[in-house]
Amino acid sequence: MSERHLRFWGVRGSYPAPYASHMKVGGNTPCVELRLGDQVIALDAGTGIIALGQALARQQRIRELTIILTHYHWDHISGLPFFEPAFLPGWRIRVLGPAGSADELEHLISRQMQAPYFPVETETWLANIEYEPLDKRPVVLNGTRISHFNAHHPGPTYGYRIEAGGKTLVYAPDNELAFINQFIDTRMEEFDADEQRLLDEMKEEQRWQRISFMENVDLLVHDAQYSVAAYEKKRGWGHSCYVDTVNAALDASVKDLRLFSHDPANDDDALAIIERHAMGLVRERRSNMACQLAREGETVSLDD
Amino acid sequence: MITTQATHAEPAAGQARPTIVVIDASAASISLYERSVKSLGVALAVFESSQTSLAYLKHNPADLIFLELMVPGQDGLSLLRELRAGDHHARTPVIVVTSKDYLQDRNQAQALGVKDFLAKPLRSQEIRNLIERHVQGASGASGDGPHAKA
Repeated sequence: MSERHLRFWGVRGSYPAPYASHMKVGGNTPCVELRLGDQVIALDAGTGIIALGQALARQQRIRELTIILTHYHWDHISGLPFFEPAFLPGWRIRVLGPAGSADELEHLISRQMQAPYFPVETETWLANIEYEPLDKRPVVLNGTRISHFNAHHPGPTYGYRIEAGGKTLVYAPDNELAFINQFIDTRMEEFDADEQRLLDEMKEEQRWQRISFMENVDLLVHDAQYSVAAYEKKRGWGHSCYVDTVNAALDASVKDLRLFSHDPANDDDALAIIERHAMGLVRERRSNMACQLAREGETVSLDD
Repeated sequence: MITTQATHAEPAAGQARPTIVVIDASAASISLYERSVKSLGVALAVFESSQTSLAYLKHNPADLIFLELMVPGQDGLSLLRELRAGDHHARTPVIVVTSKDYLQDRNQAQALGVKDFLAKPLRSQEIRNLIERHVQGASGASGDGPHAKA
């Protein structure tokens, strides 16, 4: 296996889907491992991080990792109470996420393990846990630059742009791409001519904001939770329809798109249909962008 | 980046103009705010990132803050939480005007004491109405009535 790679440990949005009908794509909630030599970065700590923790606990060489959280909805943190390295002395774990202070971040993490919700609290974590709020500036971890951007999702939620070893990746598991323009369109007629000109500019700004964070990236892991029919019912829930994700990635000249945060309601067959249609959209635009589902257990090499 | 604009209306002698702070990176939105306050006796201070706005607000009062949640550098609710925890803006009136409109954000903003939470876009007259409602001493010949169409 490449020493520089991304591995999907959990690709499912909202809640785990441990059904035989879903196992080709995977049932765990979000966790993506970025491995750069001995540097391990876990993006989100959904149930996928449990198996990552078991794998790390089995080896001897690495005793340090960084966990970067996009937000604190259950599907992104519910693997932490079962993350083995946290319970092992000698491990150093840095936890980064949106928060105003280290105390606030620790509180956001530890609350899910407090009684009566869980039998043991974070006091039982024997690893050296360091909480680092991501509030304003990018961070650099051993030469890996990680910058955040606000995502369209309920509550404070970040996506991340990661620059490592000449490659640029974006991880945005929960981000509703099509949400932003609807109010402008529905209210346009109420505005006078000068205001309408500004609203046209606002739409153009938002079109740019929609894709600016992913422009020209080598690998984009992005929310594509809903089918077209599901999005008709769930517009405004904070997730993207895969059609919007594919089109935004094409507009942004992304090189490799992995559709992510799969709807637990979609089994392997339903996701295969989505993948075929997504690849068809890429062909229609005459693009050579790679486009496929993110699948649990799959590894993407970051070597040239 | 900070751009501070003095507006055309002059305050009465010896009276300081109220300061309206806008935290928003959208050039079109900023133009709408500038257009809106032209006839009001207020000063407008515009900030396009969380860092610059916090640096200013740490040392300066504001009579009203318009906040976009999707501001570069930081989530807008975290920024607001930081403002509320500081010395100067625990009670400063804040209105969220945003392209990000989810119930959970509305609830969190309400818990942080915002006066209103509005989805973009707003008409100039709506912005003027908000300023006149929440800022003492902000008034002018602002044209059409509260609900009139231009």
